[in-house]
Amino acid sequence: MAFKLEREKTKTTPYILIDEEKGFMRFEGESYLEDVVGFFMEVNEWLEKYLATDCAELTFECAMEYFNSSTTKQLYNIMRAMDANASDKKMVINWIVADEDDDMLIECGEDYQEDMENLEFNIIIGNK
Amino acid sequence: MVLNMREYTDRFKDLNISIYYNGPLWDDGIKGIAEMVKTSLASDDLSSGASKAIFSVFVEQTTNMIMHSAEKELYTQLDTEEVSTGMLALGHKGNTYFIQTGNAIKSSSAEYVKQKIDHLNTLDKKELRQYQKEKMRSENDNPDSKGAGLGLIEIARRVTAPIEYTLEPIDENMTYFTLYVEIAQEVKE
Repeated sequence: MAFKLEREKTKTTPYILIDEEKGFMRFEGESYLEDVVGFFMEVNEWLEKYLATDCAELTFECAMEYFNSSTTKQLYNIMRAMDANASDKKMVINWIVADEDDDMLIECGEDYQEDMENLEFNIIIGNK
Repeated sequence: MVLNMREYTDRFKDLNISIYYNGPLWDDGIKGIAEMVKTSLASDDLSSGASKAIFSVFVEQTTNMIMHSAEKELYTQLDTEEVSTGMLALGHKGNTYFIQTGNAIKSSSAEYVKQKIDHLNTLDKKELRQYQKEKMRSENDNPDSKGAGLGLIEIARRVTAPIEYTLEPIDENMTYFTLYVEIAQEVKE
């Protein structure tokens, strides 16, 4: 059975969707004042197992609006894990910024993008 | 004894402080204050970038206090039992917002905090962005910290004047740490 996870967002934790069958993951919302390491644990455990399978393909849509600095690190770790597998597997990250004036989010996406070596990283501005 | 609370209120008004809190700090407990800060910023005439920057500084500094305050209270009903204490004040004078916090830290960490802030104050915005990126790649260099070590850098990136602070010894084990930061509001276009 392909793994599926859907977690509703709260004021301080993001909406998370993982659909292994479609090779798709999406985050939305905000992340702060939480034990973020604990919160992303399930995602990281699944990701590690999934990326180790031969046929893994993953599109990660990150449409978060605000997150704290510890979340920045968690997102980075997820992206690096994808990037490490991107030489022989299709790995795509879509960094979605709804507000075209949101320099904080745009710069953050650019910084992630610069650190990725193999995967396709798209910054999509002004589109929900 | 009944305190004359009006004197305190007037004093905060004189200091342009609109939100003030002093007491226990833990993640779930502070969410209500975060919501209050967010709502209050949203009702001010701020660009979305400015209010996000101010909120980000508030979140990072509150998290720093939760993680590093050396003064604890016992709350047996919480999983962690020991809860950090500290104070925070937020306000604005004209178009300049400020956040001020105070909490005790271990005296053994005082030198680390001093060096870290002094260093951040020497960097310009571009250098801070680069520094944050480097730190994101590496593990936290502060052995006392459970966090990602990015909070103060994030604060330094968002403020519009150098970070001000004082470190005042309480006794041989504890030092009182006061932090003051300003974010000048961007003019709405």
